[in-house]
Amino acid sequence: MHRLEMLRRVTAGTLGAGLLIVFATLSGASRLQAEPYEVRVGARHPDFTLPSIEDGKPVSLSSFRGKKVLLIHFASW
Amino acid sequence: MLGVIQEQHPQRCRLFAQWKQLDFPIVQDPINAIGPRVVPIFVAIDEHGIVRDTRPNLAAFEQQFLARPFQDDAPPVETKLTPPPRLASAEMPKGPDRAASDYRDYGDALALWGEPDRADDVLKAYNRAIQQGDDSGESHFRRGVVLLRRWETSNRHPEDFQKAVESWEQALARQPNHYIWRRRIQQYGPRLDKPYPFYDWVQQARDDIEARGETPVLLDTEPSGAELAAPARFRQSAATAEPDPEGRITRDDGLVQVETAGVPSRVAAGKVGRMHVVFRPQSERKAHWDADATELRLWVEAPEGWQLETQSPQASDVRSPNASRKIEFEFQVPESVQPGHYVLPAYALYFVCEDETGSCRFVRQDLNLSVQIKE
Repeated sequence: MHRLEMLRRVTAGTLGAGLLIVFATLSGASRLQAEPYEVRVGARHPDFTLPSIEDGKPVSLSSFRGKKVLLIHFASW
Repeated sequence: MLGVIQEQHPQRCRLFAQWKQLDFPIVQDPINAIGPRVVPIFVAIDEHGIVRDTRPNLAAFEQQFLARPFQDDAPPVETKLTPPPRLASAEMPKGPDRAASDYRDYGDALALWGEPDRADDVLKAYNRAIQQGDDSGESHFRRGVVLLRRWETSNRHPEDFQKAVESWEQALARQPNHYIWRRRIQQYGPRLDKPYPFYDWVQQARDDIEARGETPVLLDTEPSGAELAAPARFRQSAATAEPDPEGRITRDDGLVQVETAGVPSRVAAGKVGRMHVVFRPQSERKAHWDADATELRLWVEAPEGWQLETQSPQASDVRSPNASRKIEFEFQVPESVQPGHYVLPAYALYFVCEDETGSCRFVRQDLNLSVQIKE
Protein backbone atom coordinates (compact mmCIF):
# COMPACT_ATOMS: atom_id res chain seq x y z
CA MET A 1 0.00 0.00 0.00
CA HIS A 2 1.58 3.25 -1.03
CA ARG A 3 -0.58 5.98 0.41
CA LEU A 4 -3.66 6.77 2.37
CA GLU A 5 -6.55 7.94 0.21
CA MET A 6 -8.76 9.79 2.67
CA LEU A 7 -12.14 10.83 1.31
CA ARG A 8 -12.94 13.33 3.99
CA ARG A 9 -11.51 15.00 7.03
CA VAL A 10 -11.77 12.99 10.24
CA THR A 11 -13.26 15.15 12.97
CA ALA A 12 -13.99 14.44 16.56
CA GLY A 13 -17.70 14.50 15.89
CA THR A 14 -17.55 12.02 13.06
CA LEU A 15 -14.66 9.91 14.33
CA GLY A 16 -16.49 6.65 13.91
CA ALA A 17 -17.70 7.38 10.41
CA GLY A 18 -14.35 8.86 9.46
CA LEU A 19 -12.54 5.75 10.59
CA LEU A 20 -14.84 3.56 8.56
CA ILE A 21 -14.09 5.65 5.51
CA VAL A 22 -10.36 5.30 6.17
CA PHE A 23 -10.74 1.56 6.35
CA ALA A 24 -12.79 1.44 3.19
CA THR A 25 -10.36 3.45 1.11
CA LEU A 26 -7.23 1.92 2.56
CA SER A 27 -8.44 -1.64 2.29
CA GLY A 28 -9.55 -1.13 -1.27
CA ALA A 29 -6.30 0.46 -2.29
CA SER A 30 -3.98 -2.02 -0.56
CA ARG A 31 -1.74 -3.99 -2.86
CA LEU A 32 -0.42 -6.22 -0.10
CA GLN A 33 -1.90 -8.51 2.45
CA ALA A 34 -0.65 -6.94 5.67
CA GLU A 35 1.46 -9.25 7.74
CA PRO A 36 0.54 -9.53 11.39
CA TYR A 37 2.29 -6.80 13.31
CA GLU A 38 4.56 -8.11 16.07
CA VAL A 39 2.01 -7.49 18.77
CA ARG A 40 -0.41 -10.01 20.23
CA VAL A 41 -4.13 -9.53 20.50
CA GLY A 42 -4.97 -9.54 24.19
CA ALA A 43 -1.55 -8.27 25.23
CA ARG A 44 -0.65 -4.73 26.09
CA HIS A 45 1.01 -2.82 23.25
CA PRO A 46 4.58 -1.87 24.15
CA ASP A 47 5.05 1.83 24.59
CA PHE A 48 7.03 3.96 22.18
CA THR A 49 8.00 7.61 21.88
CA LEU A 50 8.57 9.19 18.49
CA PRO A 51 8.87 12.75 17.16
CA SER A 52 5.78 14.46 15.83
CA ILE A 53 6.03 15.34 12.15
CA GLU A 54 4.61 18.79 12.95
CA ASP A 55 7.10 20.06 15.49
CA GLY A 56 9.47 17.23 16.33
CA LYS A 57 8.24 17.02 19.92
CA PRO A 58 7.96 13.62 21.58
CA VAL A 59 4.65 11.79 21.42
CA SER A 60 4.21 8.59 23.42
CA LEU A 61 1.61 5.92 22.87
CA SER A 62 1.11 5.82 26.64
CA SER A 63 -0.14 9.44 26.55
CA PHE A 64 -3.30 8.13 24.92
CA ARG A 65 -4.12 5.83 27.83
CA GLY A 66 -7.81 6.17 28.72
CA LYS A 67 -8.82 6.53 25.06
CA LYS A 68 -9.22 4.00 22.31
CA VAL A 69 -6.47 4.30 19.72
CA LEU A 70 -6.38 3.21 16.13
CA LEU A 71 -2.67 2.96 15.41
CA ILE A 72 -1.84 3.11 11.71
CA HIS A 73 1.60 2.41 10.26
CA PHE A 74 1.74 3.89 6.80
CA ALA A 75 3.78 5.77 4.20
CA SER A 76 2.91 8.50 1.73
CA TRP A 77 4.36 6.47 -1.16
CA MET B 1 -6.08 7.82 15.62
CA LEU B 2 -2.33 7.91 15.73
CA GLY B 3 -0.27 7.61 12.55
CA VAL B 4 3.30 6.34 12.38
CA ILE B 5 5.09 7.02 9.11
CA GLN B 6 7.81 4.80 7.79
CA GLU B 7 9.73 7.01 5.38
CA GLN B 8 13.27 8.29 4.93
CA HIS B 9 11.99 11.90 4.64
CA PRO B 10 9.22 12.61 7.17
CA GLN B 11 8.66 16.12 5.78
CA ARG B 12 7.16 14.57 2.68
CA CYS B 13 4.49 12.96 4.82
CA ARG B 14 3.81 16.35 6.35
CA LEU B 15 3.08 17.65 2.86
CA PHE B 16 0.92 14.58 2.22
CA ALA B 17 -1.01 15.16 5.46
CA GLN B 18 -1.56 18.81 4.52
CA TRP B 19 -2.76 17.80 1.06
CA LYS B 20 -5.19 15.16 2.34
CA GLN B 21 -6.13 17.31 5.34
CA LEU B 22 -5.32 14.59 7.82
CA ASP B 23 -6.00 16.01 11.26
CA PHE B 24 -4.86 13.20 13.54
CA PRO B 25 -1.44 13.16 15.21
CA ILE B 26 1.31 11.61 13.10
CA VAL B 27 4.76 10.65 14.34
CA GLN B 28 7.84 9.72 12.34
CA ASP B 29 9.82 6.49 12.43
CA PRO B 30 12.44 6.87 9.67
CA ILE B 31 14.71 4.20 11.17
CA ASN B 32 11.89 1.63 11.46
CA ALA B 33 12.45 1.49 15.22
CA ILE B 34 9.02 0.06 15.96
CA GLY B 35 9.64 -2.62 13.40
CA PRO B 36 6.64 -3.16 11.10
CA ARG B 37 7.72 -4.98 7.98
CA VAL B 38 4.86 -3.81 5.78
CA VAL B 39 2.47 -0.89 5.50
CA PRO B 40 -0.31 -0.21 6.09
CA ILE B 41 -0.93 -1.91 9.38
CA PHE B 42 -3.85 -1.16 11.69
CA VAL B 43 -3.77 -1.92 15.38
CA ALA B 44 -6.85 -1.32 17.49
CA ILE B 45 -5.75 -0.56 21.07
CA ASP B 46 -8.32 -0.23 23.82
CA GLU B 47 -8.47 2.36 26.59
CA HIS B 48 -6.18 0.21 28.78
CA GLY B 49 -3.45 -0.04 26.14
CA ILE B 50 -4.40 -3.60 25.22
CA VAL B 51 -4.35 -4.73 21.59
CA ARG B 52 -7.81 -5.89 20.56
CA ASP B 53 -7.42 -6.31 16.82
CA THR B 54 -4.72 -6.22 14.17
CA ARG B 55 -7.00 -6.74 11.18
CA PRO B 56 -10.07 -4.64 11.98
CA ASN B 57 -13.27 -5.61 10.26
CA LEU B 58 -14.66 -2.66 8.34
CA ALA B 59 -18.29 -3.58 8.72
CA ALA B 60 -18.17 -4.35 12.41
CA PHE B 61 -15.49 -1.95 13.64
CA GLU B 62 -17.81 0.39 15.46
CA GLN B 63 -19.68 -2.37 17.30
CA GLN B 64 -16.68 -4.60 17.94
CA PHE B 65 -14.31 -1.91 19.06
CA LEU B 66 -15.46 1.69 19.36
CA ALA B 67 -18.74 1.11 21.16
CA ARG B 68 -17.56 -1.76 23.32
CA PRO B 69 -16.01 -1.32 26.78
CA PHE B 70 -13.04 -3.55 27.57
CA GLN B 71 -11.67 -4.97 30.78
CA ASP B 72 -8.15 -4.24 31.91
CA ASP B 73 -7.26 -7.91 31.74
CA ALA B 74 -3.69 -8.06 30.48
CA PRO B 75 -0.46 -8.09 32.48
CA PRO B 76 1.72 -4.99 32.41
CA VAL B 77 4.43 -4.82 29.77
CA GLU B 78 7.91 -3.49 30.43
CA THR B 79 9.13 -3.52 26.85
CA LYS B 80 9.57 -0.22 25.11
CA LEU B 81 10.05 -0.08 21.39
CA THR B 82 12.11 3.11 21.30
CA PRO B 83 14.84 4.51 23.54
CA PRO B 84 13.97 7.51 25.73
CA PRO B 85 14.67 10.91 24.18
CA ARG B 86 16.97 11.84 27.09
CA LEU B 87 19.46 9.20 25.90
CA ALA B 88 20.30 11.49 22.99
CA SER B 89 21.81 13.94 25.48
CA ALA B 90 24.06 11.30 27.02
CA GLU B 91 27.57 10.40 25.95
CA MET B 92 28.49 7.44 23.78
CA PRO B 93 28.66 4.27 25.88
CA LYS B 94 32.23 3.48 26.90
CA GLY B 95 34.12 0.54 28.27
CA PRO B 96 34.88 -2.99 27.07
CA ASP B 97 31.86 -4.55 28.77
CA ARG B 98 29.17 -2.57 27.05
CA ALA B 99 26.65 -4.68 25.13
CA ALA B 100 25.92 -4.20 21.46
CA SER B 101 22.38 -3.18 22.42
CA ASP B 102 23.76 -0.24 24.43
CA TYR B 103 25.37 1.14 21.28
CA ARG B 104 22.35 0.52 19.14
CA ASP B 105 19.97 2.14 21.62
CA TYR B 106 22.27 5.14 21.77
CA GLY B 107 22.42 5.30 17.98
CA ASP B 108 18.62 5.05 17.78
CA ALA B 109 18.17 7.85 20.30
CA LEU B 110 20.52 10.13 18.39
CA ALA B 111 18.94 9.20 15.06
CA LEU B 112 15.46 10.06 16.38
CA TRP B 113 16.21 12.97 18.70
CA GLY B 114 19.71 14.27 18.01
CA GLU B 115 20.61 17.32 15.98
CA PRO B 116 21.26 16.71 12.28
CA ASP B 117 24.98 17.39 12.70
CA ARG B 118 25.32 14.39 15.00
CA ALA B 119 25.23 11.93 12.08
CA ASP B 120 28.89 11.02 12.61
CA ASP B 121 28.14 10.01 16.21
CA VAL B 122 25.12 7.99 15.15
CA LEU B 123 27.18 6.08 12.62
CA LYS B 124 29.91 5.43 15.19
CA ALA B 125 27.30 3.97 17.52
CA TYR B 126 25.78 1.70 14.86
CA ASN B 127 29.18 0.60 13.63
CA ARG B 128 30.17 -0.20 17.19
CA ALA B 129 26.96 -2.18 17.71
CA ILE B 130 27.73 -4.23 14.60
CA GLN B 131 31.33 -4.79 15.72
CA GLN B 132 30.07 -5.92 19.13
CA GLY B 133 27.99 -8.60 17.45
CA ASP B 134 24.66 -6.98 16.57
CA ASP B 135 24.89 -7.94 12.93
CA SER B 136 21.13 -7.72 12.53
CA GLY B 137 19.15 -6.36 9.64
CA GLU B 138 17.92 -3.63 11.96
CA SER B 139 21.41 -2.28 12.61
CA HIS B 140 22.34 -2.29 8.94
CA PHE B 141 19.07 -0.69 7.86
CA ARG B 142 19.34 2.13 10.39
CA ARG B 143 22.94 2.75 9.47
CA GLY B 144 21.82 3.14 5.85
CA VAL B 145 19.15 5.66 6.84
CA VAL B 146 21.69 7.82 8.63
CA LEU B 147 24.28 7.50 5.85
CA LEU B 148 21.77 8.86 3.36
CA ARG B 149 20.73 11.53 5.80
CA ARG B 150 24.35 12.65 6.15
CA TRP B 151 24.84 12.56 2.39
CA GLU B 152 22.01 15.06 2.05
CA THR B 153 23.81 17.59 4.25
CA SER B 154 26.94 19.65 3.92
CA ASN B 155 28.74 17.15 6.19
CA ARG B 156 28.42 14.42 3.56
CA HIS B 157 31.14 11.99 2.63
CA PRO B 158 31.15 11.36 -1.13
CA GLU B 159 30.57 7.62 -0.74
CA ASP B 160 27.66 7.96 1.74
CA PHE B 161 24.91 7.35 -0.81
CA GLN B 162 26.50 4.18 -2.18
CA LYS B 163 27.19 2.93 1.34
CA ALA B 164 23.59 3.65 2.33
CA VAL B 165 22.39 1.42 -0.50
CA GLU B 166 24.86 -1.30 0.50
CA SER B 167 23.69 -1.11 4.12
CA TRP B 168 20.06 -1.54 3.08
CA GLU B 169 21.06 -4.47 0.90
CA GLN B 170 22.81 -6.03 3.90
CA ALA B 171 19.62 -5.56 5.90
CA LEU B 172 17.43 -7.08 3.20
CA ALA B 173 19.79 -10.05 2.82
CA ARG B 174 19.09 -10.84 6.48
CA GLN B 175 15.32 -10.37 6.20
CA PRO B 176 14.32 -10.71 2.53
CA ASN B 177 10.61 -10.37 3.29
CA HIS B 178 10.96 -6.96 4.89
CA TYR B 179 8.90 -4.85 2.54
CA ILE B 180 9.75 -1.45 4.06
CA TRP B 181 13.47 -2.09 3.75
CA ARG B 182 12.99 -3.29 0.19
CA ARG B 183 11.05 -0.12 -0.64
CA ARG B 184 13.94 1.99 0.64
CA ILE B 185 16.19 0.46 -2.04
CA GLN B 186 13.47 0.62 -4.70
CA GLN B 187 13.12 4.33 -3.97
CA TYR B 188 16.46 4.88 -5.74
CA GLY B 189 16.57 1.84 -7.97
CA PRO B 190 15.67 0.93 -11.55
CA ARG B 191 12.13 1.52 -12.79
CA LEU B 192 11.70 -2.19 -13.47
CA ASP B 193 12.01 -2.86 -9.73
CA LYS B 194 9.29 -0.42 -8.71
CA PRO B 195 5.80 -1.86 -8.23
CA TYR B 196 4.53 1.74 -8.29
CA PRO B 197 5.97 5.26 -8.08
CA PHE B 198 7.02 6.93 -4.86
CA TYR B 199 6.56 10.68 -4.96
CA ASP B 200 4.76 11.32 -8.21
CA TRP B 201 2.00 12.95 -6.14
CA VAL B 202 4.11 15.85 -4.84
CA GLN B 203 3.42 18.36 -7.62
CA GLN B 204 -0.30 17.59 -7.61
CA ALA B 205 -0.33 18.04 -3.85
CA ARG B 206 1.30 21.46 -4.15
CA ASP B 207 -1.13 22.56 -6.87
CA ASP B 208 -4.16 21.47 -4.87
CA ILE B 209 -2.92 23.07 -1.66
CA GLU B 210 -2.24 26.37 -3.39
CA ALA B 211 -5.65 26.22 -5.04
CA ARG B 212 -7.11 26.17 -1.52
CA GLY B 213 -5.21 29.35 -0.70
CA GLU B 214 -2.66 27.64 1.54
CA THR B 215 1.11 27.52 1.39
CA PRO B 216 2.48 24.00 0.86
CA VAL B 217 4.82 22.63 3.48
CA LEU B 218 8.43 23.12 2.38
CA LEU B 219 10.44 19.97 1.80
CA ASP B 220 13.97 19.72 3.13
CA THR B 221 14.91 17.34 0.32
CA GLU B 222 13.13 17.42 -3.02
CA PRO B 223 12.28 14.05 -4.58
CA SER B 224 13.99 13.54 -7.92
CA GLY B 225 14.85 11.03 -10.59
CA ALA B 226 14.14 7.52 -9.43
CA GLU B 227 11.81 8.77 -6.71
CA LEU B 228 9.50 10.25 -9.33
CA ALA B 229 9.88 7.58 -12.01
CA ALA B 230 6.98 5.33 -12.86
CA PRO B 231 7.51 1.59 -13.19
CA ALA B 232 8.68 0.71 -16.70
CA ARG B 233 10.55 -1.90 -18.59
CA PHE B 234 14.09 -1.06 -19.64
CA ARG B 235 14.11 0.52 -23.08
CA GLN B 236 17.03 1.79 -25.05
CA SER B 237 16.51 5.13 -26.76
CA ALA B 238 17.72 6.09 -30.23
CA ALA B 239 21.42 6.76 -30.78
CA THR B 240 22.74 10.31 -30.63
CA ALA B 241 25.91 11.86 -31.93
CA GLU B 242 28.89 11.97 -29.57
CA PRO B 243 29.43 15.60 -28.55
CA ASP B 244 33.24 15.60 -28.14
CA PRO B 245 34.74 12.53 -29.84
CA GLU B 246 38.22 14.01 -30.12
CA GLY B 247 38.40 15.27 -26.57
CA ARG B 248 38.92 18.87 -27.54
CA ILE B 249 36.84 20.48 -24.78
CA THR B 250 38.94 21.93 -21.94
CA ARG B 251 38.99 19.76 -18.86
CA ASP B 252 37.54 21.00 -15.59
CA ASP B 253 40.40 21.67 -13.14
CA GLY B 254 38.37 21.04 -9.99
CA LEU B 255 35.42 23.40 -10.13
CA VAL B 256 32.86 20.60 -9.90
CA GLN B 257 33.14 17.45 -7.81
CA VAL B 258 31.33 14.34 -9.01
CA GLU B 259 29.95 11.51 -6.88
CA THR B 260 28.45 8.31 -8.23
CA ALA B 261 26.37 5.49 -6.83
CA GLY B 262 24.82 2.43 -8.45
CA VAL B 263 21.52 0.90 -7.33
CA PRO B 264 21.62 -1.97 -6.67
CA SER B 265 25.23 -1.92 -5.56
CA ARG B 266 25.80 -5.29 -7.26
CA VAL B 267 23.89 -5.99 -10.45
CA ALA B 268 23.06 -9.55 -11.47
CA ALA B 269 23.80 -10.77 -14.97
CA GLY B 270 20.99 -9.90 -17.34
CA LYS B 271 19.50 -7.36 -14.98
CA VAL B 272 19.11 -3.59 -14.91
CA GLY B 273 20.92 -1.11 -12.69
CA ARG B 274 20.44 2.59 -12.12
CA MET B 275 23.41 4.95 -11.99
CA HIS B 276 23.22 8.14 -9.94
CA VAL B 277 25.77 10.85 -10.85
CA VAL B 278 25.81 13.96 -8.68
CA PHE B 279 27.61 17.18 -9.62
CA ARG B 280 28.59 19.62 -6.87
CA PRO B 281 30.09 23.06 -7.53
CA GLN B 282 33.03 23.52 -5.16
CA SER B 283 32.46 26.32 -2.69
CA GLU B 284 36.21 26.77 -2.05
CA ARG B 285 36.57 27.93 -5.65
CA LYS B 286 33.27 29.86 -5.45
CA ALA B 287 32.16 27.74 -8.36
CA HIS B 288 28.58 27.98 -9.49
CA TRP B 289 26.41 27.01 -12.45
CA ASP B 290 26.02 29.44 -15.30
CA ALA B 291 22.46 30.74 -15.00
CA ASP B 292 22.33 31.56 -18.71
CA ALA B 293 23.74 28.31 -20.05
CA THR B 294 22.35 25.42 -18.07
CA GLU B 295 23.38 22.41 -20.12
CA LEU B 296 24.77 19.49 -18.12
CA ARG B 297 24.99 16.20 -19.93
CA LEU B 298 26.85 12.94 -19.85
CA TRP B 299 28.26 10.88 -22.65
CA VAL B 300 28.53 7.21 -21.63
CA GLU B 301 30.35 4.42 -23.44
CA ALA B 302 29.06 0.94 -22.78
CA PRO B 303 31.15 -2.24 -22.95
CA GLU B 304 30.28 -4.74 -25.66
CA GLY B 305 26.84 -6.25 -25.09
CA TRP B 306 25.76 -3.77 -22.45
CA GLN B 307 22.77 -1.57 -23.15
CA LEU B 308 22.20 1.97 -21.98
CA GLU B 309 18.84 3.62 -21.56
CA THR B 310 20.42 6.57 -23.25
CA GLN B 311 24.01 7.27 -24.17
CA SER B 312 23.60 10.97 -23.39
CA PRO B 313 21.45 11.57 -20.29
CA GLN B 314 20.99 15.17 -19.26
CA ALA B 315 20.33 16.99 -15.99
CA SER B 316 17.31 19.15 -15.42
CA ASP B 317 17.67 22.91 -15.26
CA VAL B 318 19.54 24.75 -12.56
CA ARG B 319 17.48 25.21 -9.37
CA SER B 320 19.98 27.50 -7.77
CA PRO B 321 23.53 28.42 -8.83
CA ASN B 322 25.25 26.56 -6.01
CA ALA B 323 22.97 23.54 -5.70
CA SER B 324 24.08 20.06 -6.66
CA ARG B 325 22.61 18.57 -9.82
CA LYS B 326 22.00 14.95 -10.62
CA ILE B 327 21.87 12.78 -13.68
CA GLU B 328 20.40 9.27 -13.46
CA PHE B 329 20.26 6.63 -16.13
CA GLU B 330 19.68 2.89 -16.37
CA PHE B 331 21.79 0.21 -17.97
CA GLN B 332 21.24 -3.46 -18.72
CA VAL B 333 23.98 -5.97 -18.20
CA PRO B 334 24.33 -8.95 -20.60
CA GLU B 335 23.39 -12.42 -19.38
CA SER B 336 26.88 -13.63 -20.18
CA VAL B 337 28.76 -11.09 -18.06
CA GLN B 338 31.15 -12.51 -15.46
CA PRO B 339 31.14 -11.37 -11.82
CA GLY B 340 33.54 -8.56 -11.02
CA HIS B 341 34.18 -4.89 -11.36
CA TYR B 342 33.41 -3.07 -14.61
CA VAL B 343 33.72 0.51 -15.73
CA LEU B 344 31.47 2.59 -17.94
CA PRO B 345 33.81 5.25 -19.36
CA ALA B 346 32.01 8.55 -19.55
CA TYR B 347 32.46 12.27 -19.59
CA ALA B 348 30.32 15.19 -18.51
CA LEU B 349 29.96 18.51 -20.31
CA TYR B 350 28.70 21.62 -18.54
CA PHE B 351 28.94 25.37 -18.11
CA VAL B 352 30.43 26.46 -14.81
CA CYS B 353 31.61 29.78 -13.45
CA GLU B 354 34.32 30.62 -10.96
CA ASP B 355 34.07 33.46 -8.42
CA GLU B 356 31.21 35.89 -8.26
CA THR B 357 32.42 37.88 -11.23
CA GLY B 358 34.71 35.26 -12.67
CA SER B 359 34.65 33.74 -16.06
CA CYS B 360 32.20 31.09 -17.10
CA ARG B 361 33.47 28.19 -19.13
CA PHE B 362 32.22 25.17 -21.00
CA VAL B 363 34.24 22.25 -19.69
CA ARG B 364 34.54 18.50 -19.75
CA GLN B 365 35.18 16.09 -16.89
CA ASP B 366 36.17 12.51 -17.64
CA LEU B 367 34.58 9.88 -15.41
CA ASN B 368 34.79 6.16 -14.75
CA LEU B 369 31.39 4.91 -13.62
CA SER B 370 31.91 1.74 -11.58
CA VAL B 371 29.56 -1.21 -11.80
CA GLN B 372 29.89 -4.33 -9.68
CA ILE B 373 28.48 -7.55 -11.10
CA LYS B 374 27.12 -10.04 -8.59
CA GLU B 375 28.60 -13.49 -7.96
